Amino acid sequence: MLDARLLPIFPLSMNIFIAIGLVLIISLLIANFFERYTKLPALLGYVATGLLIGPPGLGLIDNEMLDKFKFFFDVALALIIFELGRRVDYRWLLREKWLLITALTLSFATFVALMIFLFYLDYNTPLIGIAAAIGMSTSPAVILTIVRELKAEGQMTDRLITIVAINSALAFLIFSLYFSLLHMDYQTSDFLWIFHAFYLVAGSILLGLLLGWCSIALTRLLIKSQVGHTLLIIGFIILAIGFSYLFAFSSFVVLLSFGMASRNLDKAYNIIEPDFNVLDKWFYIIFFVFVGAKLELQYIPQLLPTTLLFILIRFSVMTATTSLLAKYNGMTYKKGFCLGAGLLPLSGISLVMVYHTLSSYPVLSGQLAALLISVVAILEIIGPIFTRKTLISSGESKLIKE
Amino acid sequence: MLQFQPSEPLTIGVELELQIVNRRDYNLTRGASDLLMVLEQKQHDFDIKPEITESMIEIASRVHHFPHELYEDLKAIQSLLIECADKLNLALAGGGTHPFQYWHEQEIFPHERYRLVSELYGYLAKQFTVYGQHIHIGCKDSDDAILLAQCLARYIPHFIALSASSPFYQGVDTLFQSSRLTSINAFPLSGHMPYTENWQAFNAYFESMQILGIVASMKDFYWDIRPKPEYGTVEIRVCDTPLSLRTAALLAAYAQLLAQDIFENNIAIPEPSFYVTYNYNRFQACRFGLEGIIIDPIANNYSSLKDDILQTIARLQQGNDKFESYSLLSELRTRVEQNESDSNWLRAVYQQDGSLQEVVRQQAARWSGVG
Repeated sequence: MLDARLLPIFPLSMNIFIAIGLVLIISLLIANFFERYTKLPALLGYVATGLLIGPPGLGLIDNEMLDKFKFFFDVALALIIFELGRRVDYRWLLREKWLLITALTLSFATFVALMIFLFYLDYNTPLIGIAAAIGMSTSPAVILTIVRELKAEGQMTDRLITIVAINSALAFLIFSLYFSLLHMDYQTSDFLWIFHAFYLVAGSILLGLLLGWCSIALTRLLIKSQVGHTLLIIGFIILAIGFSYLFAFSSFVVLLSFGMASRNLDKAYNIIEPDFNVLDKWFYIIFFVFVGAKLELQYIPQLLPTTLLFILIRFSVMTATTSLLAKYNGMTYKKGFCLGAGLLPLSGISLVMVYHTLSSYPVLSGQLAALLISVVAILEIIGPIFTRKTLISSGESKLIKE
Repeated sequence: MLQFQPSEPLTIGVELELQIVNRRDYNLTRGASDLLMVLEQKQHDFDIKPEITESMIEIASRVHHFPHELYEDLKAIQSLLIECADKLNLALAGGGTHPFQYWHEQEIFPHERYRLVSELYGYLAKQFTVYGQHIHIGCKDSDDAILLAQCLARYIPHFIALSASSPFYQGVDTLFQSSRLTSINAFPLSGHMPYTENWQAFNAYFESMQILGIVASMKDFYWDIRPKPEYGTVEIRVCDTPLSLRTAALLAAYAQLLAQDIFENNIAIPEPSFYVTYNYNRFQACRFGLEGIIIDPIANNYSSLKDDILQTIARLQQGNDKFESYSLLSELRTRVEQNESDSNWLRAVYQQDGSLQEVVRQQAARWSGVG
């Protein structure tokens, strides 16, 4: 809480309560306008709010205030990654080999294509691997939010979500390995970087599994009610963030494996499917406003052709792979194409990764970071439009039909 | 004018409407289109069709003389369906209703007929997301079909009680053994077919309904039992889809022997006053299952449904076992004697686990023969 005062202190300044109140009200108004008068997804309304009132726009909310939003951002991201994990059914992946093959082919093909592209652009630094890894991942937040917005259900939706989980996890793995490699390049010993990568990945997975196991065990003690189970799971999700910080684990991997474990280890269906609907809408709004406010558009004019080419290569490889493999996934070519196009939104987490890299290795970053920031900025805006459109075209949206 | 296509008498066929659920929370899911798409890629000649909402799929057996052959036929269809559903991470389940789905979340299957039904009946169309078993019995001519339909009406409560598998609806225990028929009761052309003594009278009724613009075809009647002129059969439509194919085959065997009894013992069409207690008997069967009562308004007496079924089975098992189905009937008798029903099983699972998701998971496992 803020300190109690007898009289206001001049000049009047923004506080966190006013900021959050403004964010919620303005973003809901803009999102409603989008929903009513345009065919744009509501979440773009939240991103637009961030752009409008954040540092890129009017600057009503500055970077210092945005840092205070970090708690909401972290919780929102955690809820998203947990839900993503819960939607991954590893038994299905074992049975349905074509889904796994599609996800792996798509991820590696995108990675390799982007590596080659960046190599020929003369970005001659090990960081092109990180950039390509970021490029191969899709934003879980955007996908899950749009799926919910449209109440989408069906094969394309299920496969889209599973592929997002796989390409995000692979991107993270490559990112971690590269990050450890950079450690080695700069200052540390071979042993340390191998140990670090192992500690990060294995430790995070183990913590996720442990949390999953504990949450299942504890739900057995509770009365079976959706509200009770949802609150318990939220408690565990917040614990997961805390432990990730405490042990310097990846909260992404912890929450993904927690989500997967809570579903796949729960053979007797003790956990009633959590319903985050109202609560996390609140968090999601702040999440996307935060994303919007953090977007940086200044490099776009200078890097526009390269940025668009990067996006085009990513889009082409993804749609070509899913179209070619459509039949094996039990889908029509149209749905296969839609699946690839729906994967366009770039991971919001990648933005965090870029900042992370920037702050650690400013010398290496420069142009490449500017390119990634521009790609993220453009895809954060056009990506959701593609996903929405493809889910509607595939006929899997319940709320909006073509 | 309806043309009745004669068929071999006492042959049987079965249609089963199945639930399509996801494997995440075992709620109904939009899966029919995807499932049909994968089925198209397989070599088969089975009759598998969409139904009114996207979370339903209908399978139909071929025409059979023997119930045990029908059972094998259904198992072959089931095996293909499971293979395709596995690819899509979907599960299929029996049961007359899905225990916790919400009707407003269901999506009408994109087909002209269903669109028209939805337009005419509004929310009733989505509430029609209930699952039944239809049993067809072959008739040599149209008058036989009317005779059979009118005579089988007496046994409608038997079929309701023996197949009851819909105790839960919209997330609550309805206290009914079969809550499914309540959804169908809302349709104006549901219930029992009008009293007619022969095909000519029935056809006159149909024509008048057609001229009045109330119906376009026989499909528009949602009666408990109706003639199906294009197949040359009488169709019993009151059964909930049972939780296992075995029960589906037992019910078909029972229907076949009842029809044989009616034809071979020259049983006459009951008097119109028989229908005085029809709806009440039907309610008793829906609400209490085997523990309900059945009232005979002509003899002016009543008995327990369980006793009535047991007496009927005993009567049907006399004579030579023409359809090799007496053993199936004995299996049915044992179940009735032990008060076994799908509804009781579903309630027991719920009582043990306290979760309707778990109920559907076990329902799906039981349908695929695992549980």
